[in-house]
Amino acid sequence: MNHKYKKAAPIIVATLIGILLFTSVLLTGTHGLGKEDRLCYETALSLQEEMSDLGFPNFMLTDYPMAFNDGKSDYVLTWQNGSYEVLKRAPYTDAFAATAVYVNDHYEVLVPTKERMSNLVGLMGGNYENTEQAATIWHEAFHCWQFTHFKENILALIGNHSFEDADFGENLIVSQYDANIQAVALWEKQSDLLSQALKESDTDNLRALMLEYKKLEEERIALLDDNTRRLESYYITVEGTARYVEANAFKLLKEESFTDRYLANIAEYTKGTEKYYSIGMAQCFILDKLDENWKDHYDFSVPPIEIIYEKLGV
Amino acid sequence: MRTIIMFTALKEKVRQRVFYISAIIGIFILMLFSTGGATVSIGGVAVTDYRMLAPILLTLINALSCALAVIIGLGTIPNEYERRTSHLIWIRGVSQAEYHSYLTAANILSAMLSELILYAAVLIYLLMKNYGTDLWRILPAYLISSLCVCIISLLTGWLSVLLPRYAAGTVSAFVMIAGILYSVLDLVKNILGGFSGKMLGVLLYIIPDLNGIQAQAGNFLTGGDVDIHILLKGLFFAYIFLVLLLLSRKKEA
Repeated sequence: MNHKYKKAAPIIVATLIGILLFTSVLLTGTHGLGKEDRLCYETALSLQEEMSDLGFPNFMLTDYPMAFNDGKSDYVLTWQNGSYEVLKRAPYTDAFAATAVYVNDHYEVLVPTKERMSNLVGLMGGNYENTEQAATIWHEAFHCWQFTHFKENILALIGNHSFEDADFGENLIVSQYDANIQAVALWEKQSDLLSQALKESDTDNLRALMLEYKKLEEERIALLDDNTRRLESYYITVEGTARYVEANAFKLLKEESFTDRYLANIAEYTKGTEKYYSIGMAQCFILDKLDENWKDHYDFSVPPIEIIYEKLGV
Repeated sequence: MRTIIMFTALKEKVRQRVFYISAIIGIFILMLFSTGGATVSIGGVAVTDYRMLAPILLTLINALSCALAVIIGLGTIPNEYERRTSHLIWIRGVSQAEYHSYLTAANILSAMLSELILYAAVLIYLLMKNYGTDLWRILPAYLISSLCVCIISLLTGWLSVLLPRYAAGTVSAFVMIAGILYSVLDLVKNILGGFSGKMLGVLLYIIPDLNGIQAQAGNFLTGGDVDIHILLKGLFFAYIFLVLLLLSRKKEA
């Protein structure tokens, strides 16, 4: 009996260690959202007052639940009575996406956790810190606000199309636009003009630059098919303004890097839809020079450049 | 008797040329980093800050140590059987499970020793950069990092009992590389989506997150938060491989 016990003892101990380890793994696996992500959200929240002063009426980050996706679960942060609560749920999507999603009759911000974003950006040779994540949160929160209040106007920009159509979206821009040498050359001239306009403080000089811009725009637009034009308007209007919000959030957190990160490369041509983000943002900053209150009545039915033309009478 | 088995195997490992050559290469690379002879840049900006460079150094050390663990561990158990040394052990009443585990323990110690040498480069780096207050952090960071070496040594030991040398080497190397690239594969899983993404997800469930463990070592070294869940998962993998090693029997015995 004693001998049997001696033989069984190590097996029992090993089994107990295994059970203990397994239980610890399970228990710590549900520990919830990491400190870093909470910090990113709190950093984004700390900008609430200044971002409200930006001028988009009733645009508040706290109005939209914020979901962080860690690849396995979503951690949804909801603001209530001066603090936020965190709820864990199955991931809304398996895709790696920073976006605004429609969940049970409202829009929510969805971003991958800071660690995952940092890994992705790191792979592409970039650096992604809490500041970038907080700015991204503002970008996506702005989409929530846009779609909550101006969904019809925004969808009108793309007509009867849907981004689920295989021949509509990023691929169309790459195949129809980026491959068009003439259109690209004209775009480069235009973005150079916008880059100059960003540095210009004299309204007459600004008008001259925008007049030239408009001429090139008409010439360029004539080279594009209807769908590409619609997509361009959509991206400049929706993503350009969101990039503008993101840039303002970033500026509040890290002003010393703002110009390098957001304004220095506007004249640079990039394939795909990224160029529209920058150009749309530049148009918003130029509008700020003409009238800071342009956001009061902006309804996303036209790209910001149309408001610039209107204000300058070009 | 048991300690003799382990220390004899350990001495043999230390005598192997591969151990010294790998350690020298590792030190050479690390010294280049530490002395500024090589530069790393992220987004066109040179990485000189300790808090940015330390995780890169640790990743390099971890990858080298894990590769060493595979190289060292691959032949230990099969060699003993080829030389018939094993028979001398059986007659002394040592079980196969014990014998395999002591040989694997020797592998773990050898790989940990090589990792310790590589960590010396980090120590030198910290001294050179006057981060004296962070010196004490090296030992816990080293111990966290060694968990990767333990996992890989146990896996290699177990596979070397079951499979021919080349097959054990291939599987161990695959798990090691996938474990080091865990975060990259996790991203690829999301990018792929669909069936391929799900398959990759399954693979990630059965592969230890060596990258995550090493990242915790980096976090500790630079004063960041350590995610205990990742370390416990690593320990659980080590436990599973140890149990499998203890349960596996070699037919020749």
